[in-house]
Amino acid sequence: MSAIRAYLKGLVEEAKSPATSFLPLDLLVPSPQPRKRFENLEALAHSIREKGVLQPLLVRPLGDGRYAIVAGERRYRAARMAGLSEVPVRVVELSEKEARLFALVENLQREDLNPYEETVGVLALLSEDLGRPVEEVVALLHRMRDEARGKVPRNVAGSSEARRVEELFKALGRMSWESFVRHRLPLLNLPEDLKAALEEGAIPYTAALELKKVKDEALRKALLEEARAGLSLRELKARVREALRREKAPRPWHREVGEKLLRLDLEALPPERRALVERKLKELEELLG
Amino acid sequence: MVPLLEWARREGISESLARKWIKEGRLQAVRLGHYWYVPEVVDGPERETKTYTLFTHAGGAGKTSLARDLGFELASRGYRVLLVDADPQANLTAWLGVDPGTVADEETLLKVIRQDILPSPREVGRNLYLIPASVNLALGELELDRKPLGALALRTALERVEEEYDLVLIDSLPSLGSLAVMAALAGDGLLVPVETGAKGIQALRAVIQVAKEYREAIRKVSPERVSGRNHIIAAFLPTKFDARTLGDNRVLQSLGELEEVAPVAPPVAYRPGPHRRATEGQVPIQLVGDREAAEEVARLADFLLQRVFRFEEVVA
Repeated sequence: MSAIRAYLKGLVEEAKSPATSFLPLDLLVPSPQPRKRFENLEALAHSIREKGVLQPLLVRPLGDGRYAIVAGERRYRAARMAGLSEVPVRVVELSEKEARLFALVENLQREDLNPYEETVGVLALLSEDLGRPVEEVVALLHRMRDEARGKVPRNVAGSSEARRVEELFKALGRMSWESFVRHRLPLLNLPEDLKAALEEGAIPYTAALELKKVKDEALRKALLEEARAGLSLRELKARVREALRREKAPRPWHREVGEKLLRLDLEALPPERRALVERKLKELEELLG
Repeated sequence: MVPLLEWARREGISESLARKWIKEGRLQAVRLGHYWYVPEVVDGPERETKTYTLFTHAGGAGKTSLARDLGFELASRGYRVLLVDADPQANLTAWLGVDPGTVADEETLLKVIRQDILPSPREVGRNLYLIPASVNLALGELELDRKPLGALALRTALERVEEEYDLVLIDSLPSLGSLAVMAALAGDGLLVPVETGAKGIQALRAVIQVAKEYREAIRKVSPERVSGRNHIIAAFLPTKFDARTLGDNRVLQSLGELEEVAPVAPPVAYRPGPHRRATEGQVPIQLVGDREAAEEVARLADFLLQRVFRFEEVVA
């Protein structure tokens, strides 16, 4: 067969393979991913019922006839809800690691991840890319920060891992690694109950940060329940402030009296009360010597 | 044309009365030989407008010559043909005797891009109309990029003038930019000229790839038009075929493989002489006095009518 003919045969195959193929939903397997909430699925399902799934899902073959979803789990869930039996897909040959990286990057490029999800996602991406567990990545990031501040001698700065971290943050284009360490890593130190609520999507992350200030566990639980029930952030802030005031040990009462004395203006008192106060003060003076 | 006797019987009158009406001028009829015939408006099924785009990003494959010659051929067979020059180089415009320098922006596709209205075409021959181009059309490329759903502008505008033409042929430009996309998405499919040679078939890969993407784009607006197809290539038209060379013959033979993708037309030969006389004389190649060239275009038109355009009924 001539080269031209072989080339044209290849083109024919290419033309015959559909740009988009369809796969039954039952063959698709969702993969673990940073997105924990699936909001507005109803609306998406409605649109899918009307117009179908407009953008194909990205899937990769698992080798057993099933396909793992690399991107498009939300569409997958909504299509289920809409009662579809199959969805348009684009099949890509990716290794598991590539697929995970791809899904992580794809998910991070979304607009609607909250900062907690984003933080978990970025750490998962770094961990995947560097091939290190998340705890070690966090340690590396802290170490990088301390070195940058000049607190500790430079050991990791400029190392290949540190450079890779910088590159990844640049590629993501969201924030610098410094600001990630400063503002985002603290989110991971939330108490477990708050983390769980965040992952469920039961409360906004701003509420979680507010609740974190309450150290009394019973009280925090009560407030968390209220936040779950839909307490506004403003009200929640007020409650937390109040709770914090109560949490503080009450000041000895005599100091409060002393403070009041500092502000006392005898001239301003009505004559009878003034006489009484002056007498008591004199007694006090004698008593204290 | 209905014989007078037949017509009279259908109308329920005697033939002599019909003859009398003709004499009085109450009935329009024509006499052919001994017999009278009554011309009849055939209320056949409305012929659907067919729209095709001559498309390839390779330059010099013969898009413009094909648009001109096929347009002329089908117009002279009685089809109402609209040619659309989508190329800012305006060769089709010039070759049909319209000076691109005299073409106003509102006469070109810029009107579609700016106002979503198809400009009224110039009549360049019997049954043959032209939406001309000028160098300013190049601006359209930039304007299209900023226009939401700009890629569908020509398709939408053409839908509004359906029924005025039987066939719309769009001469695309040698690019894969937004003007070319708008031209490609405007119709029922792509007629892809393929220069019979290595350069021609090398261009095919990209054409097939975009034809699949365009199919997806059209599926979103008119799914019924592309159901059962993976791409929107309507036919491959081998051009510049030089029967004297072994290479061209080999390529032409191999091009048969593409039948699995879309019909492959009989080749158009490489004829520099007639081609030059046609462009210089601003006439279609059928009019330069080269019988072979004219027959070739006729064969190509027959092929397209049978295998691609497939009009429901033939013009009387």
